[in-house]
Amino acid sequence: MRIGYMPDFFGVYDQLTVGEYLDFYAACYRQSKRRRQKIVEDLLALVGMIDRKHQLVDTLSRGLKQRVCLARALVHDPAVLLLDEPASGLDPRARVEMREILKELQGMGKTIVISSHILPELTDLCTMIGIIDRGRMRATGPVREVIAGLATGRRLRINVIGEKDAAIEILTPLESIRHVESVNGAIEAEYVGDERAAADILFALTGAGIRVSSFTPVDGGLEDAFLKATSEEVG
Amino acid sequence: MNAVSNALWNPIVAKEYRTRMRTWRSPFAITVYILLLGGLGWAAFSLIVASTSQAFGAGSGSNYGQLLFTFLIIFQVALLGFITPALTAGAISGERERQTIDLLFVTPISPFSIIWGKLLASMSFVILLLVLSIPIFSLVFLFGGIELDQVVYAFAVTGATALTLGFIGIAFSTLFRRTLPATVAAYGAAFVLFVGFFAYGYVFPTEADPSVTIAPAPPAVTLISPVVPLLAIASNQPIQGYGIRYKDGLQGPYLNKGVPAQAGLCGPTVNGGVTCSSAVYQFSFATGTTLPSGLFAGWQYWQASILMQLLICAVALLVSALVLPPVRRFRPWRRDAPRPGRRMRSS
Repeated sequence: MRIGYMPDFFGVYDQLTVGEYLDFYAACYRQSKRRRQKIVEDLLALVGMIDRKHQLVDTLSRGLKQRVCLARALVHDPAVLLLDEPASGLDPRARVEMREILKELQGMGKTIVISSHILPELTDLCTMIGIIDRGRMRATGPVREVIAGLATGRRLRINVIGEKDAAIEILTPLESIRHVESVNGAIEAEYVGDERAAADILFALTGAGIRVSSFTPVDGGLEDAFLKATSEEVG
Repeated sequence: MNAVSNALWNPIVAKEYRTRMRTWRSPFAITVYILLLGGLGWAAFSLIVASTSQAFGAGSGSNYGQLLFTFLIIFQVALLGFITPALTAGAISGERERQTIDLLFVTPISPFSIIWGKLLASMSFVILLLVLSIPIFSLVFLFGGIELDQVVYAFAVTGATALTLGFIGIAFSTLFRRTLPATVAAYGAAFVLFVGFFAYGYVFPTEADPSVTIAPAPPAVTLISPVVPLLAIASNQPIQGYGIRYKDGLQGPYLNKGVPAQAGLCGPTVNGGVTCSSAVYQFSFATGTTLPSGLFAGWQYWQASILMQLLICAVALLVSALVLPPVRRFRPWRRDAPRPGRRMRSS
């Protein structure tokens, strides 16, 4: 009763309006009739579909169906939400809207567990992450830590004005630098160490008189971390 | 809400009513049903009038009524035999195909309530059809020959048959994952129920000794088919020559006669039958609509029929309720699932 579940399929009935659809599931969760009316109104407001209350569920677009399904998972006001692939098959706008709704739910104090293959979306949404491969939890922890812990090395994208070759010459011998290459007119450098090491690299460049126009840490992000975690030989 | 009203009015029922009655199919089915039943009633009536007026000059009104009633009630149960499997065979498998069954499983609604709700909704439609047919049946009373209790019993048997087909349809709907095989199986079961058990009486009739004093009755299982009980109700007498085989093959001369030809030689038996003796043999014939012997001796045909159909319903309901839950408490063919956390060796 404390878990709201949204599967990766919609599961809608034909010949049922959005309002009736939600009312049906609220009734299944044994909410009283008077409470159900308020629940349906509140949830439709939450997912921004008040004006669609009398539309048949089956005629909605994928993005709207997904929102109705999210509302359905919330009819009994669960503390924990289990969402399976909430972003799959949605167009970019629908994804952004879904993410906004999830953020609102997060703000309401709900614990949201998302299973997803679309990784970049999750980086800024999640607080904790677990990577499961073949039934085993490979990595778990706060998102930043997992990414940092699994990253082979950190990367920097450096843009300089003019003296690119000179910059590469300065970078290559540095202790923390593993690899330097020129990519699309910018320099990409792989290094080991923390933020301090990055600061030292920048200091070395500017100290040598190189005019650095941008100095950006490039995150391989969740995808890299995932690939790293799942490609590791099983111990 | 108390338990009873909860059971009668669960959310599934309300949802089923809404979705079912919103499609064009339901009014279409109702229209076709009434047209067919009314059409057949009219055709049977014209046929009866034409044939009796030619053959005998004047037929009696009560015979019209009885014949018309017989036609209508048999045709009605046959129509329901076509409609009910279609109503229920997709009930659970349709939810599976729409992928909504899992969503119901995660709610506190019990699998039994799901089955019950589906059944109640489809049976309400059958009851609606039965109620709508009452005006057509009321025409029978214009001619007389049929009492109100006969109509009530006949509708009870018809309702029980529809209920049985409904339960069987739901059971197949839970057993099969897809609607199509479930529908085929449900129609197969309907055929067995109607024709199979009826034919059983011809293939394996009760062997009766001509010298018995208790009148023989058809094998009890033949009464599962609604045909014989309905004919018995309509004609208000047992079906002669059905389900009984007399040794020496002496059943023939009495096949179409309600009472033996030599009435003067007949006397009542202890069990509501009539014993007749001819020069050579003594025969026993049942009178009235009470089963003279067998498993249900002393019962009305329709009572025996309804009881056996309800037993089938109970079995079908049990099967559905055991098969439907995703996590079965009762699993005779249980296999050990791999334990979580243990490494799977795939290579």
